[in-house]
Amino acid sequence: MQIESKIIIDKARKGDKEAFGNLVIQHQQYAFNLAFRIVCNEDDARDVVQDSFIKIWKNMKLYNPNIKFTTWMYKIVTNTAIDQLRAIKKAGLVNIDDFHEKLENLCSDNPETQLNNIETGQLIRMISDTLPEKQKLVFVLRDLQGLSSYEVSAVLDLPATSIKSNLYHARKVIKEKLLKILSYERSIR
Amino acid sequence: MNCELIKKKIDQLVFEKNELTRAEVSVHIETCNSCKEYYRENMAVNRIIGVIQKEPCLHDPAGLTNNILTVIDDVEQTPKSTKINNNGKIIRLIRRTLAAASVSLMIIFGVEQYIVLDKIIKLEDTTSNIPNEHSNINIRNFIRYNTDNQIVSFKQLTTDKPNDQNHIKLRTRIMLARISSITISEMDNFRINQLRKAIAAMNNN
Repeated sequence: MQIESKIIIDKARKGDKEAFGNLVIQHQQYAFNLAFRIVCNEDDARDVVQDSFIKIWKNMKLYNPNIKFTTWMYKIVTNTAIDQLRAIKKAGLVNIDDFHEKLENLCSDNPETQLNNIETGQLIRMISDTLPEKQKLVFVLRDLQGLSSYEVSAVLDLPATSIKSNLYHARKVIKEKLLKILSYERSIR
Repeated sequence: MNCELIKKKIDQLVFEKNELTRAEVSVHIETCNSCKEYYRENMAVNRIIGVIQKEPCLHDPAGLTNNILTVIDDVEQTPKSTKINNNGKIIRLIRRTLAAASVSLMIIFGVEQYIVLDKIIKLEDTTSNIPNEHSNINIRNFIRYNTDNQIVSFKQLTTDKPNDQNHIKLRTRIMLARISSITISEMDNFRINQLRKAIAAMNNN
């Protein structure tokens, strides 16, 4: 951990709100990325980030400096996002037809299409909605957030073997799903 | 080369970015259409995953920061409580000690119980093979006295209704009676031997 970050964290632990503000600025984008990839919606992700940082502030004195701050933060964001996801459950099925042209372009060697937040959220939901919760979280943390297996294991409190098997199954299902969509794309051309 | 093995290597190359497998995969897919198609599909899937790996746009980050800081103005931090931690440690220690103790007790008494039962069964088999033995007469009397049952034979007791609860209780009583009978018989023999020795010594004098 950088010395500067450590000083900020120490100050925040002692109740320094300015230092905590710096922590929020430093980490809110990462927290938002994770929340967004779990709840697949920008507004809900913002709520998750806000709730998570309030929890982090409340429990700042209980934070163990021997653990990486980002790992602790990821844990809180993941749990808050999962609670939010269970509470909303409003999202209906995503229509594959909405992605016709974009998916076709995304698969080309030189994709020009950029997805906005709504489309990205829908695409993540489309490929991961049938996954069990654990597999979805492992896929999001490992493949989308780019955490190491060790960090994923620490965030989810799961053994490394479980991370490996959940990731394998998640990738398999997602791959099959995407290939199915892609073959559908080709068939309607 | 085995195509299944190459497909695993394609997975590693595409999803794990394991460049060590690239050369081998490249050579194989030059001549194998099935693996070439598999590689192409995986690359397509990977491109889509690559798109969703891109950072989603956080609109108005300053607004989000302000919202968070405004809310925490009214929120107090939870004080660090060592008591909770210590209590947790004590409870964990007690749980682990109890678990270890219960396992040890199960092992010790389980083995002991097995040895005792084994000896009783052997004793039972030995005594039941001797007809009209002294201890069996005692047992008959014991059972008659305790249960009002007329015992025709001991075989009947050991074969009929083996799972019946009353039957099991009765068998337990029989075993206890046999043990006490054998003990008494042994003590009698010991006393008779002593008496014989004493009589022999008197005669010699």
